[in-house]
Amino acid sequence: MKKSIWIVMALVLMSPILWAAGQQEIGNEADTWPTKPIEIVVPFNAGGDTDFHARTYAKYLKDILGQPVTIINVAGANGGAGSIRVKNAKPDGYSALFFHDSMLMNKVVGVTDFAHEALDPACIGVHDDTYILAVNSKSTYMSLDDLIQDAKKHPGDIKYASSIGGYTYYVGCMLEREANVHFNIVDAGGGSDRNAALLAQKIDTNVNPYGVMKPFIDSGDFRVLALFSEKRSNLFPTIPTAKEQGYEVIGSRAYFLSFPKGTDPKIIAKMSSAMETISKMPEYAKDIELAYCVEPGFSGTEKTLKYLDKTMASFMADQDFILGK
Amino acid sequence: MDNFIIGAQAVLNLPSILLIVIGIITGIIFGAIPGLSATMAIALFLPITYGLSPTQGIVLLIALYVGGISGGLISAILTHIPGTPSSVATCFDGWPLTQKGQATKALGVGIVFSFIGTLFSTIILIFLSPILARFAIKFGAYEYFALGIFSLSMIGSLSGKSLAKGISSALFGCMFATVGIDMIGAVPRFSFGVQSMKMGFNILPVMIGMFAVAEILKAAEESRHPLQSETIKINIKGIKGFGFSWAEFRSQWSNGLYSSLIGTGIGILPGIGGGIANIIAYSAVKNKSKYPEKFGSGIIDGVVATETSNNAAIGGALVPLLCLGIPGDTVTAMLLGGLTLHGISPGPLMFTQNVDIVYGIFIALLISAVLMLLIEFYGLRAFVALLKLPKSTLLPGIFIFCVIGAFGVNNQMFDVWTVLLFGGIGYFFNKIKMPTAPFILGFIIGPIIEVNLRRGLMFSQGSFAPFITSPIATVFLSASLLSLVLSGIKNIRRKMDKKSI
Repeated sequence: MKKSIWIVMALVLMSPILWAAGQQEIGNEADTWPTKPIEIVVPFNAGGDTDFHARTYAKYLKDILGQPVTIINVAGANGGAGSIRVKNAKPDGYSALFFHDSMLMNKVVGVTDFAHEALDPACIGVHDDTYILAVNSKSTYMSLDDLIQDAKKHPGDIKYASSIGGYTYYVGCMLEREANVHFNIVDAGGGSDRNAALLAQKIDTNVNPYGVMKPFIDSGDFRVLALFSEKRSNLFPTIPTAKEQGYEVIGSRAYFLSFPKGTDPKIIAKMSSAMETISKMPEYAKDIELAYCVEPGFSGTEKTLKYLDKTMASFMADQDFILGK
Repeated sequence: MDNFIIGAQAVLNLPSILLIVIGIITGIIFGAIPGLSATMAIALFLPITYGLSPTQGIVLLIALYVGGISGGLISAILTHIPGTPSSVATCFDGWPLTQKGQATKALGVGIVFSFIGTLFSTIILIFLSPILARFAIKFGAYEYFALGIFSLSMIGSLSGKSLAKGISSALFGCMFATVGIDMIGAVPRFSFGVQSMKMGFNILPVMIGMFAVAEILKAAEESRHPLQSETIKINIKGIKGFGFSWAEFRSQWSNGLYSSLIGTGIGILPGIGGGIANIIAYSAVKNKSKYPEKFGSGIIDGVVATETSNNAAIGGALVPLLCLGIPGDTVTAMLLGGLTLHGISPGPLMFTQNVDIVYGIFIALLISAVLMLLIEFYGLRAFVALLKLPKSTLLPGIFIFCVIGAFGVNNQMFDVWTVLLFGGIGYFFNKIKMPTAPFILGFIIGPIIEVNLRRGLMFSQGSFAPFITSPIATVFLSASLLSLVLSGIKNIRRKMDKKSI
């Protein structure tokens, strides 16, 4: 009896030490982060634009954070699979998601039942404001206006390629609304499938970021009629904006990093500032220019949250529109 | 010629050659182990290539690709379990050959014709790619629909004795393929509200389940009856060269050529690749054969058809990639990513702006093909020796890799459950003698038919006319009709012959 009382007392006395030790760890975690490799989930297969931008950052983050940053590809459900994985991950700062506006679109069309509000967004790594509208060089359209006028004459005829429920679908709907025309919006697959379709003139026009169509623009197979941005790009300044031509349609894709909800704000701030440093590096600018004809465009945590909330609101306002009702 | 010299300069240096060797060996290992595939090998090594120079990176990936696709034949022939989806049909005649004690011959034939397939499509790639690429883009929704219908008409030759069972199997395949989020409208189907079901079933776990797990279950069942599961006797000592004669090689020449054309053609079309090529080539060769009834009993024609076509699809898939920047299959999609990260955008200007990369790829393909031939030749005896392992050790080992491979596809447990589910379905199919090949065909082709029918109708605003007015579509639709009519006639003839005897 006496022996067991001593044992119990010993254990009771030890517990605060263990508890205190645990407390100390938590207190230091954010300060020492990262102490092991960080995993960034890209919710698409390797080789695409999201994957590229994530890997480009990861390459430079290693030196700034002092720990390797590994990219893992978790594809499925238009990015839904990867999003869910990070949403359910431990908020210890070692898992993050690198995704873009499609995360919000997924919720609007019902692919997932959550968007950025279920995670802790850290920052926008890069803004891709290079959404362009292109036609085959063999077509007679020389300007955006030519296309719109033709669409007015033949309502429902001009084939505008897009993935239903995707962002370019939304851009098409905005253009229809702005110009008061009606296209035949057809599904022609993903980026490279649509390039093939435009090359073979199976579709009349295609909208995508500049980088996706660059090889065909350079070869002269495609003619770019408009850039859906506030102002002209420095990398291809000869292309007029849709706004200049009288059609105010703005398209943009923001690639942002998010942590699971509940991640320590200090960790989020550290990551955000590391990525901000990278976005200012000339080598980084050269990388993204070469691959995707994009200019650096970073936004910190506050601005990111504002952007995402605003974008979500505008998607939701247009929900019926997007769902094709 | 100058271009070849530029390419050679880029590739013929020690680091690159070493990378090719590593790539081939690793590729063969990944390809040979059921559960791991060429796609997985490339996905794993892609990040590594980012740290290498562009040429080094791409030649490593090419070597992995060639090794990975060809490695599948090893397990397909020796264990009746395909190593990769591209070797599914190799099991049909490869395994019976092993059971007859002719494993070495089967392996030898597979290896040599894998080499021939790679060589053929590489030559086509080098000399005809721009023309072929421009032709390939003429395949739009209507044409893919028609091609899908034509592929399904091949079910006849995959059904064995019962056409009804073959068609049912294919329809089941189509049905299971509908699970998940609809590609066009983003509407969840058969997801029962479960998030992971929304992703649908992935072809790799489905194939692993139906072929690998079902086979393992069958072996487990048979192990209770010692008489049925003797280890197969192989005579390693008498092996000369590749295990088959010059006469046999000559007899397969036309099959090889035919399959190479089919494989290359299928590879060129974006969206369809080696996984389908081997099944279609098998059916096509069987259909044109003078002794179709022997297919499935263990004849080398079956192995020639599948292994030539799946390797030919490699060169084919590179055609749209290099000429237009449009990937021909999942592997080339990753190659595209690999090139983009190095600042190279494949497209119409690639042949002028990046001659070193393009011709470097050609040379890497040729070197990989030769190395693959040599390595597998020397490894032949080692592979066959694997058969000496008792099934009780080999099959559980394979099962472990299957689970790892399934999980590795998308990093989710759902794919592992998929493997088990389809293992059960495959086992059940075997029990009721329902053929499994049509199921896989239906699973892969079903979505192609559905998506392209819907897209085509969108394009035509609801009219079916363009499906028939498109010349390419008409060709394939007529060919399917012809094929069905011919097999119907054969069927009737066979029944009449039986009656008259």
